Amino acid sequence: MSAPALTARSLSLAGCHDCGLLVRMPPAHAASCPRCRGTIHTRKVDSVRRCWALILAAAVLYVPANVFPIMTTTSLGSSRSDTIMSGVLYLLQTEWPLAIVVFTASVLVPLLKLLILGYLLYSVQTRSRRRPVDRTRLYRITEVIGRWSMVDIYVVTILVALVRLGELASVDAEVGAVFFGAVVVLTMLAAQSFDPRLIWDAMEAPSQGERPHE
Amino acid sequence: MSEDGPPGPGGVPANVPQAVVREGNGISLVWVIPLVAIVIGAWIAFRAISEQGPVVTIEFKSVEGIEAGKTRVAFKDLQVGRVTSINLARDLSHVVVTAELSPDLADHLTENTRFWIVRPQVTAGRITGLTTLLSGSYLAIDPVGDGDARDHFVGLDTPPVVTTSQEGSIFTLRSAELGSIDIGAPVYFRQVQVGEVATYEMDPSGQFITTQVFIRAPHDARVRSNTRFWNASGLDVTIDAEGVRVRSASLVSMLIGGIAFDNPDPSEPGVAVDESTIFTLFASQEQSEQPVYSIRQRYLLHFKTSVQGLAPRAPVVFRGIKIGRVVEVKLQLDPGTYEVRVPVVIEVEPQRLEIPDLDQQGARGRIQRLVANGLRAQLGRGNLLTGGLQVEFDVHTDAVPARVVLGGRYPELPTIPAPLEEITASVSGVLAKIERLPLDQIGRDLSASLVELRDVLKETNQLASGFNETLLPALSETLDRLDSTVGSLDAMLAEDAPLPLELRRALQDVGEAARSVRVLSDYLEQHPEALIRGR
Repeated sequence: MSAPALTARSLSLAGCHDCGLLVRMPPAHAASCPRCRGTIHTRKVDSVRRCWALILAAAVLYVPANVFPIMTTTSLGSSRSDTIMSGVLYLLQTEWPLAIVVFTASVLVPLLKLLILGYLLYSVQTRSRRRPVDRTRLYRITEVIGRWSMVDIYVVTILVALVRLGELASVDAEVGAVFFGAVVVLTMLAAQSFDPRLIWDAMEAPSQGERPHE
Repeated sequence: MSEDGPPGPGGVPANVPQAVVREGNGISLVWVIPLVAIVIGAWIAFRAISEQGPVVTIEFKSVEGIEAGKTRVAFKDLQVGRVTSINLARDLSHVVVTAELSPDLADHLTENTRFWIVRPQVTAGRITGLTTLLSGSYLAIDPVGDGDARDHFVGLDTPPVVTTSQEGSIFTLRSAELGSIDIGAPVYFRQVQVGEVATYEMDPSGQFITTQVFIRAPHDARVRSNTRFWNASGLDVTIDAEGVRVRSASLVSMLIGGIAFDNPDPSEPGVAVDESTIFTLFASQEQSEQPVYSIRQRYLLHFKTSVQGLAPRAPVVFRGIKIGRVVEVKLQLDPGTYEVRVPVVIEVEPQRLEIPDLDQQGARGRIQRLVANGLRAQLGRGNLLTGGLQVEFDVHTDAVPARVVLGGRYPELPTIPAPLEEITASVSGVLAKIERLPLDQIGRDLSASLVELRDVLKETNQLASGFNETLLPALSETLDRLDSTVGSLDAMLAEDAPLPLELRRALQDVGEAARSVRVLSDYLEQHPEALIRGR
């Protein structure tokens, strides 16, 4: 990758996202397809800003998602509200492998996603040229693994629907679950709005720094 | 990575069209998302902080069934808080429960606020807290707004009978002994349970027991200045000079005791009272129904006869109306004269005589006047069943003059022999008369009569023997003749005798005739026309 690589953008070309027509891009960023009128971008629109905004929102909601209980289990009258961490600690006493799974999926992964995306954005903004392949891989992992955090929400919804035994046992979703779901969705959206091509744009910057990144 | 189609690097086919330029838009709306997130987060944080209720610590001797983080604090079955942690006290003497309460209660945490643990409880009187079998124990709070605010409390060991949220009044009763009353025992008004015994305690002097009863609204208004409370506990069996009495208010009060109250005279409603009024708790309904007299005087009586059946508490009556009771019966030997006497101390309530404007001294003076007029005490049968004696007073105008003897511990009133003693006397008089009867003479006359009777019997005997000699032979002859007659009758009726044979034949003919008549009648029944037409 030492030599400047050819990209569609470096040739001022782009494929229409909708009809696939190859068009010549004007210097302006936004353009539309002459054939199907679809919007054409060489890079995802507003990628860095959107990603930052979504990460920020997710980071803000990450706090109530972990502070508030996500689920209340009532069995034989004694009810127990669990936050994610208290559930992990509870599992740690009985089934530690499960505790590790829950901790990884529900606490670590959203947090890592936020940190990784933040790092990628930062590196893109500073036009870092360090290990672009690893960074791209990091991004792919982030995008793939992110949805698995939703498992928590699925478990809660299934339990709430199934365990309806009145006084004997019942499970209720709590406000924390809403925040947690919001965090997962926001991080997924953030990962989607990030454009990994920006990592590589920096690599060609010295030779073709024709336009500032977005 | 990019196009494969173009023939060389940088060479783009010329027919690639130009994209249409678009105007860029200004500020991205994407920043609304973190803004909304921040607003939500801030609001949540604000709510969490503003809803942070007071945190209190409560001491308990035991926290059975209480779990940190799980157990709720409830008031009127509504959750108002949660136990957050449970710790041992430093000296291990008790457990300190920390609870977070709802902010609504912040103004109701005072020195009068009480906490207790609700568990299922089964007592003879009632079953409470059954729901906690399923829902688990919980901390109950009785919030009270009056008093100094505080955040450390000492939990009650047992649930209080009365909480401040219940409408009603607490009245104080005073009694000599507790009876079989327990906390939570029912309080009845005409056998309707209207309250409970809240607490009882020994007066510091040790002289009496103070019992506090809680009476629910609106029944607390039935407690008036003249209301009488009595112990309705258990089975009240009394056997005394007035007979045998068994009383019980209800099965529950039989088991755990109870208190009843009533207003003795409906025509006198009395005045309304507040909670500071102290009532007397009578030992029984009967006692409560008796008027209470402020003046009680003790007198001494001396009886010369046996007082068997006279016991303390035996009634003292005046013309059949109870005016007091016997306090003490003793046996006393006068060391000077060696005379054995039975001093009986009685307690009289002179007000029962309905003398207006009576005081302690006036009563004594009037008793002296009455004695001068012939007031005497005597023993009487109180109860024929139990043989109990009572002291009876009456004015005997023909009695030997006597006076009240003063100087001893109690003034001594004169006595006269009991009617019982008089009866004994008259019975012995009857016996004496019986003794005077000429029993010897009667015996002699009787034996003479017996001799005459024997003569009469002898003559009867002779008559019977004459009868034997003359009549019996003739009788036997007659019997012989009767016997032969029967024999010839027998021969006539024998199997082969002509008479029975003919008789049998005649009977057979009659039978045949009857059969043909039946046949005829059957035929006629089916063919009635045969009567006219013939067969």
